[in-house]
Amino acid sequence: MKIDYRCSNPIKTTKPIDYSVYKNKKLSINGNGNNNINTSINTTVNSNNIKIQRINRSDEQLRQIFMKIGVVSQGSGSSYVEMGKTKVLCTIHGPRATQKTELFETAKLNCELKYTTFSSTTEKIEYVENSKEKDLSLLITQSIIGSIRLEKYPKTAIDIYILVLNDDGNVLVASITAATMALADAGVEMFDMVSSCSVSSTKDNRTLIDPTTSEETIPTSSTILVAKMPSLNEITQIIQTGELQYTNVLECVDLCIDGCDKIYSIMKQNLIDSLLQKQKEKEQQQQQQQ
Amino acid sequence: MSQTTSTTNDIITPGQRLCKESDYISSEGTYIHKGYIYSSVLGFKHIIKRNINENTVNNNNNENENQVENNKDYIVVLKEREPGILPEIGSIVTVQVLRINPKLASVAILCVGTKALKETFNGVIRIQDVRATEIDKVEIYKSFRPGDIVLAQIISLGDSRSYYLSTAKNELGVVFAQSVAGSTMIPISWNTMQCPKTKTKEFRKVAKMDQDDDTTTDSKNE
Repeated sequence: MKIDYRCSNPIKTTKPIDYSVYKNKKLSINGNGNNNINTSINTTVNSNNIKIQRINRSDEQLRQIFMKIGVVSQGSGSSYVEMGKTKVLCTIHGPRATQKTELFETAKLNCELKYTTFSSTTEKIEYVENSKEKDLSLLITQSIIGSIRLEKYPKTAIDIYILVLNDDGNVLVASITAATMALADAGVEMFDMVSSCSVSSTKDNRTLIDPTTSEETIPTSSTILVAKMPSLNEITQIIQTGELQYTNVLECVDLCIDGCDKIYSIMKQNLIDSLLQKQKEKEQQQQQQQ
Repeated sequence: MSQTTSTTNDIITPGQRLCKESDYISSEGTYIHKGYIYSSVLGFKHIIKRNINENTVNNNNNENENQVENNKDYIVVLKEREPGILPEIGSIVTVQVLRINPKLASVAILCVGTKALKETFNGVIRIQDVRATEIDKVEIYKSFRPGDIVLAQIISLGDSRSYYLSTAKNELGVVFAQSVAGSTMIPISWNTMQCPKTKTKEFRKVAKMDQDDDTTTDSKNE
């Protein structure tokens, strides 16, 4: 990665965004939009006396997901994924020519994840790539490499660039989803779409699906992430951080798999809808030309 | 060869199970896994019917097993958008010569068929692949010069850096070249080109162009 050291001096005049202002606003918006959802607040207090509240959703409920493909004009495919306040933008370049290839019978998959400097409210992010970003890039590559038919593209490289616009937990899940959607948009041949889901388990036996930053960073909690290809019923990645009982692990993995299937159906429907819309636009253009 | 009639027009997502392996022949945009045909791209499902005349001819010659094979239709999922064309073995490409040495000419692949590439691929025309006859008498600098636009065919994926190309056909070779004086040269024979300005002759492996059509695909079919 090219580093511009002139930029690596962060601007110190910015203030972190206070989301509590938005929270109150959102509540009123949700109240208008979805009258059926009862405002329920689940509270848990961990050993460090950090309160965890879930507003408007239960422990087994995913955050609201928004997806869109074809958002960037450059590159061969792109996608934008929003899971609650976590916002991720992904662009695919390629399959394109490479100068240095050791394994030239198959394509090489490169993945690069970058946090924007304004993405997080809790930690300072430099322009320079840090080890966390490198680790996440590697995990994303591992999760989706099994789904792509790399042998179809010899002597080429497929580059995935992910930009985290806002980090509110579960960035890895959002990134994997975004990468898969962008690959589908680019028309890269793959075996199946990879969907993923993560669960955070707290000490007081609460399993929180799709955790936010505050839920992820509880010191005594542990998280499990599962990425799978639902149509082929194959798991491509399991990551566990923290300590968990064996029975709890099984329970969490089952929950993750359920979540994966839910996200997969959303992804699938989204792809179909966007293709239908494109078709409609084409027809309208043809009519206008006539 | 085969009739292209699409019967359905459904939108298919990657990884969607389409049918049993025995129902159709898996074709473009699909793959077989554990006895089923799955889609591998986002696009529209088409079923391409085989020509009946072709079937009857084949059925008479082949065994019963093949008869069943021949009665099946192709199933394809057509992409709504191509991720960009790639050079394949056997395809006719337009290349520009970058540098030459006594053993080979390094080229940059610009177009595949009639479609331009977004980024160039590296290729190599080795001395034994320049022409079909009198291979031992070929001299690279009498065949290509840096800057020439050449029609060539891909013969293999080559080594890790470049594709291997061949111009060992009449219709393959230099199609555009500039003389030392800088004007576009006119081919006067299969191995010489002349500069209209200075009337000097230069050696090239000239492509035999179809006079009516100047597209690459037409010269291939010739």
